[in-house]
Amino acid sequence: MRTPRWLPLALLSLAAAACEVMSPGDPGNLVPATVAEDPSLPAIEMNGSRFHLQTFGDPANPVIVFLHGGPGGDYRSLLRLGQRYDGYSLADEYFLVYWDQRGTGLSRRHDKDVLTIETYVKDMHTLVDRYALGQPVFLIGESWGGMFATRYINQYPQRVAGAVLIEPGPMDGATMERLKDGITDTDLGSEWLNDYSWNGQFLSPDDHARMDYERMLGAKNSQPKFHLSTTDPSPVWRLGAAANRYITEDGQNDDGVFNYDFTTHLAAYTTPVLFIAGSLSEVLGPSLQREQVKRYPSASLTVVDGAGHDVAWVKTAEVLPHIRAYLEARRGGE
Amino acid sequence: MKGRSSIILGVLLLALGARDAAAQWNVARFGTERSRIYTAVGLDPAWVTSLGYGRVIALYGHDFQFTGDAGVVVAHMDTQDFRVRLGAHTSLVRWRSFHLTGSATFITRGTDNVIYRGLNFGSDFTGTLGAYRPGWFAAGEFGFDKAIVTHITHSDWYRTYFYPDPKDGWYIDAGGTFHFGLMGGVALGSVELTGRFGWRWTEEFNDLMPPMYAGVGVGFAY
Repeated sequence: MRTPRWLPLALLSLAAAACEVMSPGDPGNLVPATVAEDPSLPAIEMNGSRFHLQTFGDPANPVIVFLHGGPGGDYRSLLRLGQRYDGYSLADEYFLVYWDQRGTGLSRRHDKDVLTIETYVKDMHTLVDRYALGQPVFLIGESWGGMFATRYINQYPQRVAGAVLIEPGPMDGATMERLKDGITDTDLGSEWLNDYSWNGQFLSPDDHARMDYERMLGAKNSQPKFHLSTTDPSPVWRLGAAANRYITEDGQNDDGVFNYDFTTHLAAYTTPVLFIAGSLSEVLGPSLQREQVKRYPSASLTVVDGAGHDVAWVKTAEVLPHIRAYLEARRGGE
Repeated sequence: MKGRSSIILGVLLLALGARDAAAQWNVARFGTERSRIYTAVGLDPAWVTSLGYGRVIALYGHDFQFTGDAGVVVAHMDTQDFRVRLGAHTSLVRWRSFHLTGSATFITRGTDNVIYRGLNFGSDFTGTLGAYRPGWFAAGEFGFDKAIVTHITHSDWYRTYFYPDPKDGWYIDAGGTFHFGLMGGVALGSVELTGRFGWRWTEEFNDLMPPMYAGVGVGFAY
C-alpha cells in the first residue's frame, strides 16, 4: 500500500498550523499585559498589590490625584486633563498622580477577596500618604471616580483640599436603584447585547483576559443614554471585569439591592466642591448632578454644552479652565 | 423600564421553551417520518433563527437522523453572526417509551462585532433522557458545546482607540459551554412543535450572559 505523496505535506502543514495557535489567556494576546506581566510599565507596589501609575509635574507642588471611572476603567480616559491647552497644563502648578485602581487598567489583576470598596479606600489612603507627605490633596474624579472621591472624603475629609467631580454616579444605593436601568441598555433586541451573548460561544469568560475582553464588547453601544462620542471615544487600556463586578456587588446587599451610602458624613465637609456635567448626558448628567450637589454643604455645578458623559475627554479645552479656576480659588482660600 | 420589560418578555419566552438542532426532535417518530424540514427561533444564546433539514437513515440497527441547519442572529438581522451545524441524533438505549438519546453536532460559527471578527469550529455533544411517544415527548438534556478553534481578526476601532497590538490569528481552547435543561414536543399530523429551555455555564462553571437558553421550533415531517 503506497502512501499518497501529498500526505506528508498535509501533515506538515497541519503541524505548522497547530504550532501557531494561541491561547486567549496569554498576556498581550487579546488585552494588554498588566504591570504584573510587563516590568517595563510604570508601577508602584502598595498594599500587597502592584499598580500602574504615572506622575507629572513637580513633586513639591500641591498634589492632584485622579480617580478614573468604572469601576473597572482606567486613567487613560483622564490623561487629556493633564495635557497642555492654550499654553497651560495642570502639571505647571500641580503634581499630577494618575493611577489605575486595584484590578483595573494596567494594574495587577485580583480575585474577589481583595476587590472591595474598603480595600479601594485603603489603597487611596496609602497613595495620598505616599505622595502628599501629610498634606491634603485635590481629587479629580470621573463617574465612578467621583463616587470613589466622595467615599474617600466621607471618611477622610481632612485629607482632601478640594474635589472636582465629573458626572459622579449615584452617591447612595437608593439613587442607584432608581437610575440603574438607564445606565446600561438591557434591551434583549439590542445589537450590542446580542453580540455580547453570541461572543460567549467563541470566548468563554473563564480567565481574566477573556473576561476583560468580553467587557470591551459593550464599550461602544451599551450605554446610549450617556451619549458617548463614537468618533473620539474615551479610551481605556483594559476594562477590569472582575473589579467592575465585585466592587459593584460590594455596594449591594445579599438580594442584589444597592445599599451603599457614601454621604453619611458629607455634611461636615464644608470645603467647596466643583461638579461638572455634559449637557447631553441623560442618566448621570445635569439632572442627577443638580440633586447631588446638595449632598455637599458647599458645591456648585457647571454644565458644559455639547457633550455627554465623556465630557472630560471630548471637551477638555472647555472643562480645563473651570478646573483651573476652581483650584486657584481653593489655593487662594488656603 | 424598557430594559426591564424586555427582560421580563424574554423570561416569559423562556417559558415557551431550540438549541442543538440534532437533539430536539422526537426519536419515536424517526421510524415513520424519515424526512423533515424545520425552523427554530430562540435565545440561543443571542436571538437566533435557523432553518434546517433532517433525514433519518438506518445504520447498524439504529435510526440516525442526520441534520443540517443554518441560523443567523435576528437582532438587526446581523448576518455576520451566523451558525451552520451538521449533526446526528439517535436513540442509544430504550425501555418501553423511555429513551436515552445522544447527538453529536459539528458547528461552524461566525461573528462580527465592534472589537473583532471571528470564525469558530466547534462541536456539541448532547444526551437526553425522557419519554418519547409518537404523539409527544418530554425529556431532560445535558450537553457540552466546545469552541475547538477560533480565528480572530481585531477591528480597526479596537486597535485605534483601545489596544493597538492585539494578536490576530487562531486561538485554541477559547471557549466551551455546558447546557442543562428540559425539552418537549407534540406532533399534530405531519407538523411537529418543539420547545426547550435550560441553563448554561462556561466549561469551568462560570456564569454566562444570558444564563439561560430557550426556543421553539416547528418541523414538517414527510
